[in-house]
Amino acid sequence: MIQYKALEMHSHTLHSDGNFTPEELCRAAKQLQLDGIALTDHNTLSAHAYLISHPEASRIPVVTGIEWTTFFGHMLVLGAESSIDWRDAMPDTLDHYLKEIRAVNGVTGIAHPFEIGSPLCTGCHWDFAVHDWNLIDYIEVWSKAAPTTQFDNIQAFDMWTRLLNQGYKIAATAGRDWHWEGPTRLHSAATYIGVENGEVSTRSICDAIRAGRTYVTAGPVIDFQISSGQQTYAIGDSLHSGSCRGRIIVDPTVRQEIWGDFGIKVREVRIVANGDVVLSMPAEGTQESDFDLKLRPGWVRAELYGDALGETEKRIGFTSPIYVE
Amino acid sequence: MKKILNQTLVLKPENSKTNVPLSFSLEKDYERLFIRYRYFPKKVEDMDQAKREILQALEKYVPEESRAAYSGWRDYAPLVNLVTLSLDYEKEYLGCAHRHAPEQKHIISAAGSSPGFVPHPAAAGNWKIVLNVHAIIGNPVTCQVEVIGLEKGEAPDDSI
Ligand SMILES: [Zn+2]
Ligand SMILES: [Zn+2]
Repeated sequence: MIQYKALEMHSHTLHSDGNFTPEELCRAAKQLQLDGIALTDHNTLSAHAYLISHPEASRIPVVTGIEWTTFFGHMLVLGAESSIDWRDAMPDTLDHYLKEIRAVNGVTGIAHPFEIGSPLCTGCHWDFAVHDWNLIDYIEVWSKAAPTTQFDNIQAFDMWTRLLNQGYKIAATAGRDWHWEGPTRLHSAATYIGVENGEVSTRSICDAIRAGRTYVTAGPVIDFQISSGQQTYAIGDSLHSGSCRGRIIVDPTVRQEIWGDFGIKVREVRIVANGDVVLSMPAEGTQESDFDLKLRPGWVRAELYGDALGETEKRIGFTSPIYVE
Repeated sequence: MKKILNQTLVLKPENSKTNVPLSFSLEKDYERLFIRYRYFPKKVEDMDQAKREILQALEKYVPEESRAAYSGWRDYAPLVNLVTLSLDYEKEYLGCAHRHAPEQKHIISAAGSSPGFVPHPAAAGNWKIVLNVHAIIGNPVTCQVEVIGLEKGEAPDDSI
């Protein structure tokens, strides 16, 4: 049975350029009522080595990860069973390293692809040529604070949508790119990931991302399903094209203490198929809607819109797709 | 205490986005390895150049409709050079100290290494420091790297 858990998917400690000790990071993550955290220091796994020898330091499941902080792009690599050298990847040779990462069961995500780059922040902008996008498992579509309004997140969202339209199966995540505690009340998003029996571990999170079981929200939790015949399909699944019945539940009661202060209010649920809005429904409070859909091959996802930080008609959350064959 | 490596390099803008390997070998086991590196200048002092480079980057990366919010180039000044140090023993990657301080001291030992590096014995064999030259902007940057082998009970001399 798949259960969705709230994670922070991009974080740093003083093992790279963060201010957190691993203990402090785990404590801060607990305060945000998260169920797990991917610790992704720049170009080192030493915080994970520390946590292995100090198991009492992590009071929350920690996903093994590293941020490949190369000169041509930043890339989150989770769960790799041996270390692949980040230093040799050149703008045109990344696929080779993506294959090596996959060969050691790692999962790869592009971090903040449209962040301002060189010389302000070398490698922060994604400049790698990816020849086979099937080698990319996920894209960090939302990065850092105030994700609903930043231009680079809108560009990343559009990039992800373009790749889905080209037929690639790529999951979406958010990441605070958490370096220090900062203002405790920071408007940000969480990535919810569907793991077997609700168990958060490096393995279960990698499996879930590979299967496309993620959604991102700055507020309410989302449950999105499609029924066709006797079968029900959830985020990441594939079904056949044709007539079917969709169902979405939006629940603002979960972790509301964490995001409730940012004026986030869902006003509308949109169902988007192959890049086009195929259905729009007004929404308020806890929302359960059933609706008819006629799906063509491609993909379909749910998106939440409404108020955030005093602005209206902002994208507040979105699911990774259900795929249509 | 044995000085194993003491090297000074000059890094230029064209070295940006390259890795510079510095190999050394240990003839015998040590208790700990002490690594110090520093580079200077850290900041790009030429403010005209900084302004030019920052405005260029904003134009390149920020779409026109969002640029109004990014007009203050001073928010991004001063521009800084960034060189990080990563370390390998034989074929094994031990980590990197990816942070901005232009002077860093690190210990590598089986009992524990400095943050960024996994614990590893200061063992005899082939070692490799790789300087990751993320950004050199404007004037050349001088970079000094020292490696010292420490025996049991020896402490790194702060005057080194
Ligand atoms: Zn990054
Ligand atoms: Zn980061």
